[in-house]
Amino acid sequence: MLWLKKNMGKLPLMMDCREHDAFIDDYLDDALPFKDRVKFELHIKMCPACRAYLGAYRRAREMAKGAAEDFAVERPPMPEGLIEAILKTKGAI
Amino acid sequence: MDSGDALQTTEAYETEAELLAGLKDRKPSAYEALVRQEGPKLLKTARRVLRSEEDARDSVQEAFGRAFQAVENFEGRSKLSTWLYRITLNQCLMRLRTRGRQSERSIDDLMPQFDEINCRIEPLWQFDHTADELLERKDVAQLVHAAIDDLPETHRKVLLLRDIEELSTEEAAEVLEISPGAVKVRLHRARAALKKLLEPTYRQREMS
Repeated sequence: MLWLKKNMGKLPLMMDCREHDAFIDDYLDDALPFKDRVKFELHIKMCPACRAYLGAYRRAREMAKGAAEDFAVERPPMPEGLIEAILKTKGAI
Repeated sequence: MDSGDALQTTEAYETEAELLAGLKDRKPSAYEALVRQEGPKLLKTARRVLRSEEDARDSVQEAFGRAFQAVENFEGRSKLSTWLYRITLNQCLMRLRTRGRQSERSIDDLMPQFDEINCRIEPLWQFDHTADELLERKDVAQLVHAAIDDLPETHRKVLLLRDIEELSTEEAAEVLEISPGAVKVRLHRARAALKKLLEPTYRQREMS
């Protein structure tokens, strides 16, 4: 196993964890060329640490989006007072 | 302002060209139509980006103020809504800058770890709940807000534009006036840092 870990980046269709890290965003954006995608997914199958990392990375993005959306949705609609204040701004121009 | 024409909501602007003509003619009804049509969406954007009601309202008000001043020179190369959205985003980013902290933590401490043979050092996580289920807990939602606020400003802005506002890399680069390559690098580091900061919400699996 240690031999495999040490030589992961040198084997055909394999990449090491550091290379794998550099591909994460393109993978999540569906922007990886086919060959790199195959290599990326093969690495995920073989490496529990990168599999765990990718799950947590993806989860962080979902939580950031969800928390911001929740904050916006939970607020009341645009208050009439704000509309009036904006239109007063216009009057001052 | 012609006070007789103030807060008229009856005049309908059926096309964007009509609305723009009304704005350029300084018709109060056109201004009001624009605020009522675009304001709610822009306020939502500002709330998402700033996560502060007061800051969001102030930013939207400032954004409309800027737009009203500039509308005479608006050439219609983009839609009015897109133009206003950009102005609002810039206003929000300016506000983020002014409320920035005195000292920022180094993002380097939050980057992934690798050993000497480039193997990742990472606990094995498991997720018992979906992100939505977790966010129903107030403490978790607060932790997420705090984690975003904890990112250095340059990285936080990229994360907000790409992951919260879902702008493309090119659009974010244009708003921030940096290269698409710089957006990608900062986004990767911002997401990695956020992941690290949110680790207290993940559960660690026993190694078998």
